[in-house]
Amino acid sequence: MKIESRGLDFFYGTAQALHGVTLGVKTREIFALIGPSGCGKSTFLRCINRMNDTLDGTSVRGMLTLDDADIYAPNVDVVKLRRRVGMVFQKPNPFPKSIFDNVAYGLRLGMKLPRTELEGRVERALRGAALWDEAKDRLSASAMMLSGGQQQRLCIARAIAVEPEVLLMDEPTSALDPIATARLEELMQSLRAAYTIVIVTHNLQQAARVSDTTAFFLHGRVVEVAPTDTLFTRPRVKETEEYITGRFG
Amino acid sequence: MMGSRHLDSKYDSELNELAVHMTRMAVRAESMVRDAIRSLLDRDAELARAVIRSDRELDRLELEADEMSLRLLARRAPFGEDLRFVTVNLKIVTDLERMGDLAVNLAERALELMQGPGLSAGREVEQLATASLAAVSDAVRAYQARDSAVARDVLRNDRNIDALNRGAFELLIRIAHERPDEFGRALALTSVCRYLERIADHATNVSEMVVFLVEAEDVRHRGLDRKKDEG
Repeated sequence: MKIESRGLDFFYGTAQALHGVTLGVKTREIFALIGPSGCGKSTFLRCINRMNDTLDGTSVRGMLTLDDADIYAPNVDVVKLRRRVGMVFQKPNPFPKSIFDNVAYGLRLGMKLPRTELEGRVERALRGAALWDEAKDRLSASAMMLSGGQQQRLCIARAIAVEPEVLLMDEPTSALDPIATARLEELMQSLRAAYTIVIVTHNLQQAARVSDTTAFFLHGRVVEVAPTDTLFTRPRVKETEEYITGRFG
Repeated sequence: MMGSRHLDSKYDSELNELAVHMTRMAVRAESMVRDAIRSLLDRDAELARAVIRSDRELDRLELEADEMSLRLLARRAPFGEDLRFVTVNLKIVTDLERMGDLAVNLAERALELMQGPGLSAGREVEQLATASLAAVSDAVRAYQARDSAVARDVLRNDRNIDALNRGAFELLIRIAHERPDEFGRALALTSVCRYLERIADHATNVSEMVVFLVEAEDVRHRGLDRKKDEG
């Protein structure tokens, strides 16, 4: 397993948001987290790169590992962890800089790369994010000039420029139109050749379209984890069936 | 459908509308098979002609059911039991429509056979007809009630129907050999047996779909398991 969670509890102060989450994400699969608002899926996602550490009063219990190493061990360098585990957010959040500088941002942090190598890696990241053809002639233009879909792909380019192993995506297409969404979903399929992807989505069709495995969260607990084909056609648990079919309990 | 309702009540009513429509089609197919068999056994020409006429109605119901299912797939993108329900219906309509076609074939043979004297091997054919009709009625009942236990009974019974068909067929071939004056009618009756056996096969298909709908288990092409089921 690339990522493994065993009995993971998470607290915002005294409020428990995750209850004994146990699941495993395989290397180079797309793993979808679904469930109603407040079910804990984004909280779980943010545990994987310890983004929740930035909030005061949070605490974690249980085990969460990346390549069998404890993500919450005291000696873990969180900056290094986040280089290995990149993140793409709900709303595209390019920096108010040029397209080039956005992608080069992470590469310049803590690294002194020769200009030619930097350019090569920016190009590689933009190609990987399927943005090179649209951006190659205006690399010095402001990233804010790009469309929403392009901005989100730029954020993916920024995330993959530092060559992470895992990409976390928190509702990455919720602010995009259907065409930009389709392009991003296509991009995810090509990214899975190199990365393990964990995606939070409210769009059940999207989870069904793009993911290999899906976990259904409810009230901070994992109700069911199954191959996506199975979960959306033959769920085992009544609560999953009710959620995916849009029924009352 | 399931006990609980959808958050979107219009979705509920669309699924319900399809269920009612499918039930209407299933009951119509069952009536056609029953009437075709009765027309054969009772030598009732008017009933046979009524079966032939009613096929057009079944075809219309099939087209409408397909349209409703496609609309639900396109507009609702169903999941879980709803997805199974819609896709199962797309398959079942074909079986129901084929049952109707075979009932028409039966009625046509019945009209031919009425021209001659009473049937040789009548008892064997009647047994097969009764068993096939029971399979159709049970499959329709299983579908209406979402009762996979009844559906599994139909699957278990399919072997008996095959055996009845084989027995009747062998007898008819013997009659055709031994009594030249009955050759034509015996041959026509072998067709009748084939239609009845195929009708039961379609009832089996419907029953397999009911098991998939209710239990989410695909039991098609599972001869060995079915044998195990029979104990």
